[in-house]
This record gives sequence, C-alpha cells and structure tokens, in this order.
Amino acid sequence: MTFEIEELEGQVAVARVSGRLDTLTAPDFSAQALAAIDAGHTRLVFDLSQVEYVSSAGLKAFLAAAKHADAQGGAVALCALQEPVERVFRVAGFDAFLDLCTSSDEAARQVEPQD
Amino acid sequence: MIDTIIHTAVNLLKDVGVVVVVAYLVTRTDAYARVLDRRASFRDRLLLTLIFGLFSIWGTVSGSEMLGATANTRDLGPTMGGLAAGPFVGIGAGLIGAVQRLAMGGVTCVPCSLATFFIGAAAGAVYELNRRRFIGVVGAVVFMALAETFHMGLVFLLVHPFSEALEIVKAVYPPMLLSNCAGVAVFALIFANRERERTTAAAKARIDSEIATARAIQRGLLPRTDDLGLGDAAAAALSVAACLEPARDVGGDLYDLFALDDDRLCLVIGDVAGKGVAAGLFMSAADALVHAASMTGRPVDMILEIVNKELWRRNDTLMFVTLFIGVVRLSTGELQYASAGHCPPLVRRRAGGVAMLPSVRGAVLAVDPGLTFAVGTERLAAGDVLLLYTDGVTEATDAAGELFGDERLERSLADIGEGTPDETIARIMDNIGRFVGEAEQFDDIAMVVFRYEGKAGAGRESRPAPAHEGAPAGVRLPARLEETARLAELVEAFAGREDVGLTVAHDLALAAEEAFTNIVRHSLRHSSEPWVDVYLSRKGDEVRVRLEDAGPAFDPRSAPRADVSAGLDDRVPGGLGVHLMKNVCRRIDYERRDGHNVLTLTVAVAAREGEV
Repeated sequence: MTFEIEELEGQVAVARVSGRLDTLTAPDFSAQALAAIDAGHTRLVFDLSQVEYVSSAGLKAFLAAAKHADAQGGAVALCALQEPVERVFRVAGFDAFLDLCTSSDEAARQVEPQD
Repeated sequence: MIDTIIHTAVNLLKDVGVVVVVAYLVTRTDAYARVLDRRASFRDRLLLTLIFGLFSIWGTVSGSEMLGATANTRDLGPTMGGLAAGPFVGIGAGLIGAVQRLAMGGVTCVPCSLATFFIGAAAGAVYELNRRRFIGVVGAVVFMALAETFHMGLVFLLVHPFSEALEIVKAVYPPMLLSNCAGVAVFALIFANRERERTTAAAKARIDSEIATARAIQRGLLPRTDDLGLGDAAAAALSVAACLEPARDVGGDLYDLFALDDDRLCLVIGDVAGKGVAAGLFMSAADALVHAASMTGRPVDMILEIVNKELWRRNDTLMFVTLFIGVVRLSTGELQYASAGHCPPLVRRRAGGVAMLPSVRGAVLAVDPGLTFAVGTERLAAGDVLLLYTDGVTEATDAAGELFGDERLERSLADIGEGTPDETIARIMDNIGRFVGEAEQFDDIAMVVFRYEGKAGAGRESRPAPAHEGAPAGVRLPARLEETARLAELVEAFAGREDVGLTVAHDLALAAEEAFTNIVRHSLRHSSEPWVDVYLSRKGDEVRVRLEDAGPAFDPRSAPRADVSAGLDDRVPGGLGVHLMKNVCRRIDYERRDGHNVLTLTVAVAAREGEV
C-alpha cells in the first residue's frame, strides 16, 4: 500500500492510494489518511485507480476518515474505483455517504465548499 | 609334365572365381530360398536345374585339353545342384552336362558323360539321405573327392587300352580333384553361410517378437494413473503421473501405484541392477512381492523386510534391487516411507522449496536376508509435490560425460510452478533430453510425480472422517492477522491455476480474508497456538475455500447484521465482514464437527469477464 498526498488548487487535496487495503494494510492507510486530515486536508479525494482490493478493514478506514473529515467540517470523496472495489463499497452501503466518482475532478467538486 | 599340371590347376582355380559368383547368385534366388523352405515348385527346380546344368556345360568348355581328354569342372554343377537342391536338380543338371559332353566326343566321352550323370544323381541321393538338407562344407568336399575318384574309375573301366587310360588319369586326376574340391568347398561355404544367415534371421525374429511381447507385458503391468482403485473422494485428493523409459526394450526400472484401502495409496519405485530382460523379470518378481506384502497391512519397513527375504531366497543369479515404498494417507497427507538403498525422493513444497525426503536406513534388497529398515514420516500439505525417480534420471549423461545430477533435477522440480504432474514429468524429461543431447540413453529412467491436493473438498465432507484425526492436511496457517498475507497468496495462486478470472479471484480472496480474520478474533483468547487449515477446491462452476479451526464454536452466519443503510453518523464499524462475505458468496456452509469449526465459502464462477 502506498499513500501520497497531492494538493490541488483551492482547498482540495488528492490522496493517491495504491495496492491492497486489507486487514494488514488498512491500519497503516487509516493512520495516514487521518494524519492528512489532521494536517488540514479536510477536503480530501481518494484516487483509488491503483487499488485492486478493499476488504471490510479497508472500508472501516474510509469510514473513520469520512467521520474524521466530517467532524472538522470537511468531506471526502472517492474516484476511479476499480470494478470489484466499487462493488464492495456499494454492497456495504458506503455509497450512501461517500461519493464514488469516476474522475478526480468530479470528486473534487463534490468536496469543495458549497457556495 | 609337372608344368602342365600346375598350369592346368592354375587355370582351373581361376574358374573358381566364376564359381563364387554363380554360387552367390544362386543363393539369392527366390527359387533357392523356397528350396530351403522346402516349398520349391516344379518351376523352381527346373530353374535351378538349368542354372546348374549350364554351369556344368561351362565347366566342360572352360576346361583344359590334355592328352585328348579335358580336365574340367563339369561335375561341379550337378554335384552342388544335387547336394543343395535334391535329386531332381542333381539328375537334371547331370543329364544336361552329360549330353553336352557326349556330343563333344573324344576317347573319354562315354565315361566322362556317365560320370557326370551318376555324380549328379548320387549328390541328389545324399541330399535325400541327409533328410533333405545340405550336408555341409566338409561333407560336400569329401563327396566331391569320392565323385572324382569314381569318375577316374570309370575312365579306367571304359577307356582302352589301359596304358592310355592311365596316362589320361595321371594327367587330369590331380588338377580335377583339386579344382573340383576347391570349387565345391567355395560353393558349400557360400551355401552354408546362406543357410546360417537364414537360421539366424529366423531366430532373431523370434527373439525380437518375444522381447516385444515382454515389453508389452511390462508396460501392461504398469498401473493406470487415471484409475488407482480409490473412491471419488480419495481420488480427488491427489493427482499423479508416471513415466518409464527403458534404455532397451525391456527395463529393470519399475514403478507401481495402488490403493491399500479407500484412504491409503502405496507408491513404489525401484531399480534392478542391470538392464534388459533379466532385470525386467527380476523387477516384476520384486513388484509382485511388494504388492502381496503390502496387502498384509504391515508397515512399510516390514513390507521391505518380507520382500527382501523372499527375493533373497530366489536370487540364484545374484541380482539386487533398490526400492522405495511410500504410503500416503489421503485424508491427512501423512506419508510413511522406507527405502532399500534407493535415491531419496524429492519434495516440492507448495511455496516452491525443494528438498530430499530425509533418508532412512535401508540397504539394497535380495542380498542379505536379515536386513531391517527404518521408517520415515513426512507430512504433505495441499499442493506439495513428491517426485520419485530412479538414478537413470540423475545419471543421464551428456556427450561430454557429465551427469544430469541432483542439482539440475531439483532445479527442474523447483521450476514447475503450478504445473500438473503430467506437465512436471514432461518438463523434467524435456530438461533431461536437452541436457543429454545426442548421447545414447544409457540407463532406464522411471519417475512418479505425486501431487497432494489436500483433503478432497465437496466429496469428502459427507464422510464422517473427523477433521482432527492426525494432523490436518491443506495449508495450516497460524491464526494470526499477519497470516492473511499468506492466505491471500494461496487464494491468488489457486484462482490463477483455476483460471477463474479477476472478479471471482477477488471475491474468493475477500470471502477468505473476512472469514479468516473473524476466526482469528474468535480463537485468539482460547488457545495459545491457534491455527486455521485452509483448503481450496473447485467443483464445476464453483470455487471453494474451506477453513477449519479448533476454536470455540462460531457460526459467522449468525453474527449480528451490519446496518448497511445507516448514514455516516449512525455507522458503526462492525458486522461488515460477514455482510461482504454473504454478498460475494453463492453459499456459506458452516458445520461444527468433532470440536472443529468447518466453514465453507462457495463462490460461483460465472461466465468469464468480457464474455458476459
């Protein structure tokens, strides 16, 4: 699992994640995501184009990140999910509170402050 | 006078060259072949009669004129015709030679004609008396000497005055005796050769046919790897392939595979010192003894003891056998083995490492009746491969004299990846073939590749076999979260092998991980060294992962449901794993069996991605 933050124009940052988000890697991912939010990236887009696998442990990390961002007045969104990964999010009902977008631009618009 | 005799003799001997050619040609005719086969037709005899008759005439006309008589080899044709092809040809050729001689006239025309005719007839009689066989080289020469003496006798009898007869005989007898006997000797040598050649060819054909039969029988004695006499469930727990490549038609290497009962498979490989039919016969005896001894239900070391004693008892030709015997319990993967001086088999672990089976004490069979053997024990996990082989494999030699060797064999085995046993054997044979190159195969080669597939999945579940008996097969993982990495590898490799596509691979991995982490959380508090056995199987359009553990009873299906409709504020991180499992699996089966949790997750293999 790798995790890289890239700041976009405005207040939005993109977290490029790659690899698997499973029992073993999810804690690390979760810690990095929460740290990024704590560092001010409360409007965060997760680019999951390089993530091939997300298990319930990974889902929980996204849940924690979403709650953490929400608590700080921010928001998270996901983009470019691979098909099996997107299915996992939908099956778990996470699409009810996480925007699953096709592109990072679309996701960025979702997390930008609403005028 | 002496000069004349010598001159005549030299001329006659020159003619012997012609004899060689004629004799050679005659022996190559079909007519003559049929005479040897005793099925000559009238035409065959007539043809031979003409040949020998013309040869008789040639003998006359090529002779040297001496004192009004001709020193000649006229008698040679009828003699050989009679001796080699019977009275018909002898008399016929004699008649032809005689008539021609009579027509030439001269003082000796009557005795010489009569002599040729009688000699041909006498030669035919000798053939008949010798039970219609050629009498051989010495017999033919003696006959010829007697015949020429008789010829001279007739000259004395019929040529007058006696003084003239004496002069003629003194002049022609020595060269005629010499040349005719030499001619008949050459003729007879070529004929006898031809006959021996035919006998040898017939004998060789007979031996070849017997060896071909022996080879077919030896092949027929080999077990069929696709039907080992096991039940479906047990048969699903293994895959196996074998090969036998004798250096000659019949070999001294042998392998055998047979079921001892519905759960135990006996693997045997052996090598008799020496090659060829003798080694093959001895090996067949050894194998039959192994079979019989195995059926007594005794352990492997006792089986070798019995076989050793029996072979020793019957070993008049001082042969010996190296032999490996292994018995695999298919429900557990437990292997018990013993070896009589045989090269230790190799084990390839699922993860890829290759090692020799630890060697066990035991010397070659059939030499010392009091031998005892040690038993080795090894545990095979699902995916482990056992390679039994004979030293013809490692001692395959290239043109430069270098051996294929243990290292190349181990590397070949390490490189097989997820190949089937058939592919493994093909790969190793291919490697050997490329190593050996043009060099001739020196020793017999035999191999058995056995892959333990783990306890058979679906079929076996209906069997009451308790999961905890002996050590479980499959892959045993410590029940720790870190092991999910290894679990993921196992599932990925399995999915790749089964070629189920990315989606199914993903779902199977997801279900396995969720189930595994659940088990880990539930068993941690209850045991110091908790474990989970993992079995992967495929049946038709379904792939399965079965997890067995000895923790407290826990049916994940009854776990509290996650509320997947809750929004962010109400979400609690729990029950998600089971929820995902239920969604990606076609079926989840749980059973508490003999103190074990047996959880089977079934994922449907749908139409391939991209084909939907």
